[in-house]
Amino acid sequence: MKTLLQALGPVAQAVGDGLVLRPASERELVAVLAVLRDRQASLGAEVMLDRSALARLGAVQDRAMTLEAGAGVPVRVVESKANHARLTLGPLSPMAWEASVGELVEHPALAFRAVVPGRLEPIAAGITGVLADGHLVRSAVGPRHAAGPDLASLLVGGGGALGLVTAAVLRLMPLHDAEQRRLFSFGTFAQALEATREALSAGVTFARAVLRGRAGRTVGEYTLRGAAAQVDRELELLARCAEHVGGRFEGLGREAEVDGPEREASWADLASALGHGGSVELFRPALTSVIARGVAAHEFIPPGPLFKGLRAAFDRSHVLGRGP
Amino acid sequence: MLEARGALEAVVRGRLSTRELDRLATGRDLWPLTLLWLRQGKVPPPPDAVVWPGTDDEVASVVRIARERRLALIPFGAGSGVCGGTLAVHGGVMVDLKRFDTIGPVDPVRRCVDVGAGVMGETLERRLAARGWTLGHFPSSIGMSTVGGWLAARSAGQLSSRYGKIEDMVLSVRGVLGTGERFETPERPFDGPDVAQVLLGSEGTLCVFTGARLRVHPRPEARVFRAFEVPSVERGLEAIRRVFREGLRPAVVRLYDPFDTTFVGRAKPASPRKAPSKRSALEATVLPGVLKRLAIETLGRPGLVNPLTRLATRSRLIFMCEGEAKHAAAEDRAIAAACLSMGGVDLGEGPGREWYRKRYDVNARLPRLMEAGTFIDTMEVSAPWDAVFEVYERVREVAGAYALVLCHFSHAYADGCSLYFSFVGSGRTEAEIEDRYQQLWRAALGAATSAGANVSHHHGIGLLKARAYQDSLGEGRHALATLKRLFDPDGILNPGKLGL
Ligand SMILES: Cc1cc2nc3c(=O)[nH]c(=O)nc-3n(C[C@H](O)[C@H](O)[C@H](O)COP(=O)(O)OP(=O)(O)OC[C@H]3O[C@@H](n4cnc5c(N)ncnc54)[C@H](O)[C@@H]3O)c2cc1C
Repeated sequence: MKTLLQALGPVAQAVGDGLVLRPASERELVAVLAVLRDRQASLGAEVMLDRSALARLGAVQDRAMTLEAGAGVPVRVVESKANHARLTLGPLSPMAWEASVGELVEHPALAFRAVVPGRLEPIAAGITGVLADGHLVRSAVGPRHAAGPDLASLLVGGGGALGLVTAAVLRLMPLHDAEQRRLFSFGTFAQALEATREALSAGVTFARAVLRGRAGRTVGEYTLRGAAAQVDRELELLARCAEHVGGRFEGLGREAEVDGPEREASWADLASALGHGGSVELFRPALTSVIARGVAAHEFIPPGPLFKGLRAAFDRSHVLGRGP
Repeated sequence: MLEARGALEAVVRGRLSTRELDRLATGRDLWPLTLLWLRQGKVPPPPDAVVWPGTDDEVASVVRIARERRLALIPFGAGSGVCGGTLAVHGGVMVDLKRFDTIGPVDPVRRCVDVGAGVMGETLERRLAARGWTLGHFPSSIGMSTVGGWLAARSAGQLSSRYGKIEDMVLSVRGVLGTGERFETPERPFDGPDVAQVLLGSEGTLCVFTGARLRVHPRPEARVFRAFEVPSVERGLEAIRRVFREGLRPAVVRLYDPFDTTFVGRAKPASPRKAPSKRSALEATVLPGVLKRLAIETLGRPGLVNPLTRLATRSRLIFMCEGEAKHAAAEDRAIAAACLSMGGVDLGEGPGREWYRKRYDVNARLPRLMEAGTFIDTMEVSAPWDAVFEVYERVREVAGAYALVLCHFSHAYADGCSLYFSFVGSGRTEAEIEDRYQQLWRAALGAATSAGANVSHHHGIGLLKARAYQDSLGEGRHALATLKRLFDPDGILNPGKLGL
């Protein structure tokens, strides 16, 4: 450890038996990874990476509704700055609000938000990061990654397995005060799920939803947030989607919650939880997947050969010591 | 190639051809530069052979043979690409994927369908429509492009503002890597990076796609059209930005600049088509000559013509909302309010319907104009809202020296939109035309990227934009090179494309 500490220079600090590395720029992170690779050391419990010094917070770009932030900036700090410009990161899950920008953008599930009609888009419009092999990736800021392989996706949602994000340009949306809830009941949980999918596909963007069994039926409580006119339009659409699959309007609902850890889940996972008499709370609901509470942990799926290959190519020396 | 012939023929069960016709038919795409070459009687370099594998195992065997013999392989969809993506610049074997033509049943619960890479777009939509579903992907080339080509070039359809680009519709992709290994990407939820997004857009340089699982949606109950005349391009762009900021998601958004406005959405009485044999002598012989002369005199002097186009200022803006009927109508009303507040004049549904009726007409019109001694090409880029107008102005300024420049804005997002430039130019000789074409591209793409646009929004890179693409990656080039080494260690897949 001592020689490693010396080699790393002022970026490293001895804490207890281990080291904490606090790079303040991409360049410093590149240098840190080079030293670790040289000494065949890796990040982990003993050599911890602290990105809090990557703390730059840019100005809100009001027209494009974006804001650039360093990986170490807490998501709540970004939100507060966005709110001053009447913008928001949008309805995020509770876990996302506790993350830093780096953790948010690298997380396999939190890195994406739901957009009409039930699809996912990265929260980051652009990123800067360092791959485990020391090379930089800087994706152009734009409405789309559009041509060629998406190199940013090596980092965005990558769980920090191939590289680390140092800064991200985050997508924002207008901050509106309107929030409304609606409660519908369905004959079966399958109908409740179908109504929810139908609403997503038709263009409803709800902030959260709770589905649970009650008196032999399944009730769905949906919370919509946005501009008043948009919420009104989508509430009407939601009602028609619910009725279309046999749902019954039951009132305005009351803020229900489900305990338990947040997980990314498929619709089959939700069906399984409800089929076993459980309740589920959905954040970031999309047709592709949802972030939910109340669903069982996934069986560990071993990483596929493609991923293993990528890991071997970009992090041959396992310097990041991370990933699935 | 000749030594590999027997081995290749065996693995594709005889479906190999070295006939000139097959090699010429697949050896090019619709890159306008190659159309210029053809007009001069020059033929783009054809592949040595064409194979038609029908299973993933057959593709894997073809790749293994190619690795052993160091043969280039070029995946081929339908050849509708416009960037030279299927040109056999190093010879080799064209791998035509058309036999991957299955369309599985729609899973109504998971709302998805398994589709072979060789399925033609129009066939897919027609089949889905018959079952009450839609993919929502309607590129103008839907009748002449395949699912595999869409995946390989990150295609965008006319309704992308709602349904997204093809990469947004993908649940998983399968195929064969340049190593000869078969792969299928995982579906969410998964840990680690989304490998599908690393392979999509690779234009045949990292893998051969054989199929995909795609998201589908119920067919829309209703479509509502509305058009506006807006006082200027800036006002029109601001109207679109506000519409998206308010959370509205029309399926179609198209803003035509004043010059392009003169060509769009005008209803013309349909004239009965004459059989070619009945064409008058005037039409068949004299008219092409007159047109050619006219083209040289007008399009050959863009410096004179372009300033005239600046006299017009009013632009046309078209929206189409689709989905559940009442919701589509409500979105339409909200859009109208936003556009009227920007000084728009409501033109009703007519121009939008007319555009919709003719939305694939471009395919037929293009060659006729080319015959008249011109070049025509399109450049599509996207930019954040802050940069969109600047990109528009800069490209018009520099490209205006070489061609007539038209532009429309479509494929809108909350943070920006795509700009679709059309260039029409000419010259006194074929050599001058080609020279002008090359200069135009260098100048226009350079101006676009330096003003904040990306290199391409949906046509891909191919050969045409390879240099600009590599430049745009900066140090990211290393990551791309690492991917190439990993997935195609012998560099046999589509060499030369994407600058790889
Ligand atoms: C008139 C016209 C209008 C157009 N409009 C649109 C539009 O609206 N939107 C749009 O996105 N594009 C449009 N295009 C461009 C073109 O249709 C798209 O790029 C389309 O995706 C190409 O599909 P294809 O099957 O013809 O592919 P090809 O032209 O055969 O191939 C394109 C590239 O993909 C690779 N490739 C093809 N199949 C595979 C496979 N299975 N696996 C791996 N690589 C493969 C090829 O090697 C090549 O590099 C238009 C083109 C024309 C001529």
